[in-house]
Amino acid sequence: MIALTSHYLWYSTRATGIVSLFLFSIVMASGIMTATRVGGAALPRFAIAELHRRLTLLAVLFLAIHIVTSVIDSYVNIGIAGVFIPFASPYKTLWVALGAVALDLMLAVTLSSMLRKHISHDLWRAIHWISYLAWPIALIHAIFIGTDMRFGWMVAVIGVNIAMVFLAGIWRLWKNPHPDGALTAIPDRAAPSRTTNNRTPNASQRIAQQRAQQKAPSPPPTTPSLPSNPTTPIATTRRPRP
Amino acid sequence: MEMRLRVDPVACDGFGHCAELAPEFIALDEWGYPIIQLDVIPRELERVAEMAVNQCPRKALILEKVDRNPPASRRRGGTKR
Repeated sequence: MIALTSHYLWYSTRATGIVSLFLFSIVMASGIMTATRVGGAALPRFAIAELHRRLTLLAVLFLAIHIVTSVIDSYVNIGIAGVFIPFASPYKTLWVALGAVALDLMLAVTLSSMLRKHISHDLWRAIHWISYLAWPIALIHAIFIGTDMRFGWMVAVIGVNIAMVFLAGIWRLWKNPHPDGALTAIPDRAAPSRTTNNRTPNASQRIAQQRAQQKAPSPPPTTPSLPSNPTTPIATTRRPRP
Repeated sequence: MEMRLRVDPVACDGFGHCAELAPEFIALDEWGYPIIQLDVIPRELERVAEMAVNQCPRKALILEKVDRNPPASRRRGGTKR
């Protein structure tokens, strides 16, 4: 390999690595917030989801620069294989291996999302859960591979990263976001049904209601109307979800 | 060809993104599940409908052609696009 030992490569590797980690932390937090159904008039839910998607692409771009600069910097010997294959790097074998694992997992998550239209939702979702594994691995890679942790600002950056993702995670666990659950993330919408009964009807109950309304010919429905299109199929069973 | 929008009630989890993106013809019931308010999506709103379909976190929205005379053999309204 050509002798490329410019300090700028080294600075670029460090800087883009930190930026990429930070972006992936925001991606994690916004993804968790999407699942928690966070959002309202000021910041709609679809906007958080869209932020999640677009920041992922930005994070992948920074990750690509991070990887390319670290490989072409001949001061450290990582090699193309070391980028993708764990423990293939002569330089800091363990910590680069964690980076390689995180990269492989993140690539799986990102590529499966790009193919989301063409794969089943359950498969996409199963792959997407891998991000809960990929992000901590990337974090450990960032903490232990570098020499920047001796600086206060780097410790602060890592702390902010961890705080963002953990707070979002606790929020998700605390608020059961599914509308069929006892709690929803949107109490204002759920309020009418919760005044009398703390538990909102589940999907099969709703469908039963819809059917009853369809069968009853005379009075116009007072409770939430169903799609007026009579050809709308009604599902009779509810598939269990993971 | 006329297009219509349909909700797969099994897949839908009430994320509500569709109602935010297409308030022109998608409302939410009191539990946060969408109600499609138009039987046929007008041509000028088809882009909006497509956006709502693409953004659905559950892939629960289906934009499909309205078949006025479906053959008797064909099952109505599968969930596949």
